[in-house]
Amino acid sequence: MRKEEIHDFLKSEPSIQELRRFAKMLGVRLRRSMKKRDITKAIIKTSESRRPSSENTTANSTEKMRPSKPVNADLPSRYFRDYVVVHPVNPYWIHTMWDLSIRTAESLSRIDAKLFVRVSDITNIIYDGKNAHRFKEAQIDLEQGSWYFQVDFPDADYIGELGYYSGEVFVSILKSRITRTPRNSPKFTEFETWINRVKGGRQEIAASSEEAGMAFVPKSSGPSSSPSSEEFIKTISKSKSGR
Amino acid sequence: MSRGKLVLMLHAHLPFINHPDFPSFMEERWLFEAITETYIPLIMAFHRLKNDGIYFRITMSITPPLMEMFANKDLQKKYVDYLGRNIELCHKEIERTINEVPGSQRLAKRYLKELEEIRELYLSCDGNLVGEFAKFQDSGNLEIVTCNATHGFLPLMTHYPEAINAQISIGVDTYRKDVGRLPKGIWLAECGYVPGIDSYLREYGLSFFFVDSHALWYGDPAPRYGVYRPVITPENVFVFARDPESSQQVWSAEVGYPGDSRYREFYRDVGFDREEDYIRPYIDPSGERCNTGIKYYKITGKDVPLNEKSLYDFDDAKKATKEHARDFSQRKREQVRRLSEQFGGVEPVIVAPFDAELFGHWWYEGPLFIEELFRELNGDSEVVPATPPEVIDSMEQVQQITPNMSTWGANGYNEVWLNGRNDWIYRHLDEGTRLMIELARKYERTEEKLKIRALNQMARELLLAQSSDWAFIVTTNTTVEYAVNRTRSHLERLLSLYREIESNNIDEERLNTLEWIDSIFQGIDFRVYAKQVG
Repeated sequence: MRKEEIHDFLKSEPSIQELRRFAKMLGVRLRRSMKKRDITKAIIKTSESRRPSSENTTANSTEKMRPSKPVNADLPSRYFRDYVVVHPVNPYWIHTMWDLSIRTAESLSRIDAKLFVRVSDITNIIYDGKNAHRFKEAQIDLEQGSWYFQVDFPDADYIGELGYYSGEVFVSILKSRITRTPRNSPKFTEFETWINRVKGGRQEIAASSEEAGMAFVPKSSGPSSSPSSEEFIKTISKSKSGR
Repeated sequence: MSRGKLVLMLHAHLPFINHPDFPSFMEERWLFEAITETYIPLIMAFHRLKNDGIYFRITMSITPPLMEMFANKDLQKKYVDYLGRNIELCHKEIERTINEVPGSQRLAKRYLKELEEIRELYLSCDGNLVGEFAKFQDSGNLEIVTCNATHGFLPLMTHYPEAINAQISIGVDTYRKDVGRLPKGIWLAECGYVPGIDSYLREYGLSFFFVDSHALWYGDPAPRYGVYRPVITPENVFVFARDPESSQQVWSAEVGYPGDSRYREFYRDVGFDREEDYIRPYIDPSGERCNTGIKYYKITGKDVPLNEKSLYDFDDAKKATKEHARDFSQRKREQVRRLSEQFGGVEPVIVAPFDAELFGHWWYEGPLFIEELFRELNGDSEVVPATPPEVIDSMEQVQQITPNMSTWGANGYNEVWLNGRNDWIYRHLDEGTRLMIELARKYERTEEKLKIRALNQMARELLLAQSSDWAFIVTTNTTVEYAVNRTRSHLERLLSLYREIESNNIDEERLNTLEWIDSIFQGIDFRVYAKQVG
């Protein structure tokens, strides 16, 4: 930290707690009994011993002195765990994300397997790996880490899998939890459930006519462009909903 | 005569921004501007309404990061300094405007008076703004609800129930600490709802939450009364859904009230207009220009270029707020009549949620509009302002519905927070969550003080990285560098704390620093992540 910056700080009439913290950052040794004036003196003494230029302020020391400055910190590109995760983006798009442990990746490379990510519609069935209503898949690089799939149906259950082909057979090596795409149209039923808060208890009654319900419902939205496209993001960032 | 209720809901939120090692930091101004332009003007409007005996009912979420920033001593001191500098600028402006466009000096004097009143209120409550709002809760005028801890986007946490649980639990704890009682309701960040989240709310005693319109329109089953009657989920939590008509009247770029030509122009500010030498002490020390809040021009016309705007006239703008409040009230009466007729006499409930910062910060006259709205509706026999608990108390029958997965973001689902620009965040958030849960369970019974501190800090870093604000900013392409670096820095801090804890080599000096800079939730207990949920 430059001498000028230390002086600026002292001029800002800091509280004793701030002085203590500041002194600590500069590496000034403090005693518990020290008063505001003593701490200020100790800080000035330290600052005098610094050269009055920015030469001694390397990037590293600035970072240390100003630790709260958010930095473009390096994060690992992978964490080497076995997983595949799926989330709906909207009623027609699903985001998948995956990684593999070193062990799994090695065993795949031994058989020279090409990796695929697959999203299957398993609405209302117990999935046995073969009975999906339909699926979409893409050949991927492990490093790629994620993929967006356009799917056919809102209000449907999807499962993500990572796997490879052995001949014609898809061999699944990882499965995600099941996710459900949101609805984009009303769901009409024959009965409605009503709770009576005064008398207690619940009651099933015939549902209101569709016309009455529809009066308040806007037209449902259809599929959009890919959530990874710039066009999509631009549209999203410009339009406002509630927010 | 038909009759309906109006629930006005203001969502007050800013991400936790605290840079105590900097004499000033550009992004800390977000808080200072919001206190000056929105939060205190709202408190003042509430006081005027109360003093005049006006019947008013408002619901407000004050999010945990906002509560934590209100209570932060460093930020309090910086805020007082900020106000002091702006007051000094007003004095200079009064001098300077003597020879400028007639009327600008009157405005400068007005700003001076306004800022002095704001400072007086702030100092008189010792910076305890939550306490000031809570007074109106005590008098029944205001219902303050909580929000999930750091405004984390819950729909993308569903595979880690522990993460959702922690967000809700800490949201409730912060409210209890700062407000002194338990919250009755919650605003889920970004109105992000996925079926199942209501079970967490029930567990924490939260009796209601808010959703966007299509959560009910496309709920299971379709609601009998659209968005105009609250419903109850199978977990027995009440749901209030946004009325699109009310939003449209206030928000719409074409017909919304804030676009009226008489209102103040946001984008003409002396922070940008004055010469550099003069304005330097009042903008960012780096020399980067920013808003000061001193603005002399009105919108004038939608297509009028910024440099051709006319002088702002406060009295004209005040007249506009009255006209708009009258118009809004009239539209609500008509809506109530129309809906009552459709519902065969059943009382409609109109829910109008907004970002609080729209009022005052973006729309300077917004708090006045709210004040005028309640004056207009005072004693109204058709539209009665109400809080959610009042609405709930008045309901005998309620329809049970599972709301649809939804958010209040553009297009209504997850796209704002999950797209090609920001999807990289979730790989790291997921890893952070996994590590946090792993260590919370491993060290649940540890009594080592240093380890406990490191684990608590790890939880803070995770929670701060989870703020939905960062992904939002990346999508909207505003202060992207700050948002990206905040995300990365918190995650890097989390990962290094993990390594230090696991290698039994905790760097206490660095931990001290992190506890100081990322100081949110002082009383946090990392064990919240050890709980078995889901």
